[in-house]
Amino acid sequence: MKTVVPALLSLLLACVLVDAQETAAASMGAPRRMLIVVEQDAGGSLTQGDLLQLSRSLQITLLSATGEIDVVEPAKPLRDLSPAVLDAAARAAGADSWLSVGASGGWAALTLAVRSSDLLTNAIVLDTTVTRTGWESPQDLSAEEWAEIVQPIAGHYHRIPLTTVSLQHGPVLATLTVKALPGTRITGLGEPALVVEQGGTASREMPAAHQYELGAILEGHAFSHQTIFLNTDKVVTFLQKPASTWSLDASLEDRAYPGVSLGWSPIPGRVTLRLGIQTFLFGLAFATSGVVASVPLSDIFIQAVATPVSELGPLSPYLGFEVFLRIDHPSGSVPALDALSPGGVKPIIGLELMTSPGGGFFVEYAPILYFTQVPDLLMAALGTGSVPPGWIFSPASALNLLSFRAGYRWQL
Amino acid sequence: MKRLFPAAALMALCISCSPTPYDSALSDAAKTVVKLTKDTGSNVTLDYNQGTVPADLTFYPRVTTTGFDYTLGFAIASTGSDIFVRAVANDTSTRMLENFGYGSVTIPNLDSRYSPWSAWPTKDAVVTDAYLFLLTFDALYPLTNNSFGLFRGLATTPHVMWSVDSDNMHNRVTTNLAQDVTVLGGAVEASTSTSADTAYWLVRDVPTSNYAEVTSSVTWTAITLSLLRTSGYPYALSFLPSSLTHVQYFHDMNEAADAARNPNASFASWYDTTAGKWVCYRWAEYPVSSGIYPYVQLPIDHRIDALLSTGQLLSTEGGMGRLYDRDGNLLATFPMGTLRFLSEEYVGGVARTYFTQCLTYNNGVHFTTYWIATAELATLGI
Repeated sequence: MKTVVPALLSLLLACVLVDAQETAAASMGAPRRMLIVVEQDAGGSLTQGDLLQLSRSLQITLLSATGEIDVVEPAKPLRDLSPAVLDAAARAAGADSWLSVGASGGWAALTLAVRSSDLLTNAIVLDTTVTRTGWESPQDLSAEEWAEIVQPIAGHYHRIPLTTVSLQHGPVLATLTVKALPGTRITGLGEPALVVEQGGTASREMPAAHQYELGAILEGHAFSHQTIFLNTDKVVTFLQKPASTWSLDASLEDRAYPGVSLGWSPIPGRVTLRLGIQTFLFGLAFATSGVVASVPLSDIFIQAVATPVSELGPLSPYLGFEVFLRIDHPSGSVPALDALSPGGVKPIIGLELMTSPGGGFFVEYAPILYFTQVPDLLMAALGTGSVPPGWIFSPASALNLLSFRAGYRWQL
Repeated sequence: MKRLFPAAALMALCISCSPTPYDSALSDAAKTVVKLTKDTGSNVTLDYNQGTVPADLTFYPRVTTTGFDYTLGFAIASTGSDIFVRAVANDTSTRMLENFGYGSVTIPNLDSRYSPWSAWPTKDAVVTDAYLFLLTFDALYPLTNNSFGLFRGLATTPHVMWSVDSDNMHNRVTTNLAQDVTVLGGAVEASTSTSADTAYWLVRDVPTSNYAEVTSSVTWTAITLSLLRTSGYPYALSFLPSSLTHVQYFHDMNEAADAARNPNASFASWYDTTAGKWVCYRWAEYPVSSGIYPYVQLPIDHRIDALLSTGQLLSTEGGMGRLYDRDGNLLATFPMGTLRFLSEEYVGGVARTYFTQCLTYNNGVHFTTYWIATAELATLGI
């Protein structure tokens, strides 16, 4: 356990950092998409394998130098490296720029005719000749940095701000039209969020040839989302479900003890009452005594939870309170309230991740306050010799601060 | 943020690996403990650093005329083949039960298959950390020595021992009996007397293989013996197997005070290996017919651990408390789990039945003692 927790914390931290980086990058706009073509003049001595390695070397050094560019390769080899052909090939590949390299000679005396054009500004960014001599094989590429090529490219191409793209470049922008219930906020299109008007539609021009993850948020309705690839003008329709009155949970608590509960919402999307059962007959112990834990106890519980946000987004926080009765049902005996602790209460802090209008995952922090008349027996029943971390005992109760529940919630 | 979710859920499940508080024996004990009264000052903590704590580890506090004195006492436990007895005083060294090493006594050859040990404390003076109590047990083989440290066995095959170290005491015991006997069982009865306790023993006369019952008034300085029944001594008890080396033996001497308990009667409980169960017999003081005391097998198939001041019989075998009347009718059952019968004592003129519990936590063993008025014992029934 002592080794697992730091590892998990590191994992969580890594996820936070990666997530933060990607979020920050996304907020800056869409990366440029550059078609890179490397071909050889007639009479050149390079093989197709040599050309491939030369192309890879250029791509690697370019991508290492700038995070503003996505590289695109042509669908088929291009023999003609004229600007018109390259413009057409780039647009066909969904790119907004190109870089062409015409190689001549051999490894011992290599000459590269390098050009790059920005289709968004119709500007020739680079038109130069690069020479390398004294090489013997493609292995000499490993130390090459291509400074004459990379620096001007990286200096010119930057991400496209999502809301400030010029309208004059027809093929680069496309109109996204969303059909949804009036008042729906559409996320995933940058700030500000697109709001569907009374007519049930809303439109925005967005950079084309990009993938978008759209979300529809409306009070009293389940969050729904779609992933689209915007190449040309497109209409997206959201079929929004009212927030469900009934829901069903399947969860794992603590040592992976299973539980189910049925929820009823008097105020759909805001307040839910749940009735459920949690059994300890099967769990994962992760202990030296064995992997599986089995305890003849089950909890019958009632929960009341409410979310403080009015609109259900992909992530919905909620707060709640649970009261449970603990049933002792050893084999061969009549089930009865557990004599060590007949029940208790749990405050709940939860977070739900909607993966579809039909449901989503949830995780809850739910410290347990046991009521007991025999706290010393309850302590001994833990079987740990000493009070385990996270436990606090008082003359009439015991508190376990380290209790969590995670599971999936179906909206019925 | 979506990427955080599975990591957070996984982390939550993993760090919440707290054990679920459950132990079936403790749960059973809790069902009864909540109906008992915790004795004032009864929380006693001793150190034990030798691995697994024996399940029958019991702390017997010193008995006084006003209840228990928890600062002194003795601890007893068995390991299946040996009984360990250790005096516990109010100092650091004796409160460390280091495998019952220093200052302890080991009695070998316990037959733990059928019969555990029973201890019967007396309310008498404490002399140099030695306490006067009766210890009964079953041995696999006759013990050839009748002296084990502080202990003195009775006769040559001691299944009953007194925790005394006085040769005079031993001599007094042996010389008070007319001839060589084997003591099969004994118990100290709860008494309102503040000057002496009374113990009853069942002995087998070695030359004749017949039996006798002995009453003894016990003080620290004297055990005064007398035959309980002189008629036909030693007499036959035909229902007792001749191979028995130990029985749970009790005598009810209360016919004068309670007409319902007339005539005075004796009880013997032992494990019948042929029948594969415990049996219990009662025999009365009269009428004697041809030298035979009238006897009857009671409908009790559990070990009897105590004859209470109410005349009721208490069994604690198998973690279950069972209360019977003197005819063997079951009056109540109640779960005991880890709870153990300690003794019956009079406090303020009222008989109390005491139970004790040994819990292991915080790297120590913790004893708590509970009581209920003996007259209300049946209310524990489920």
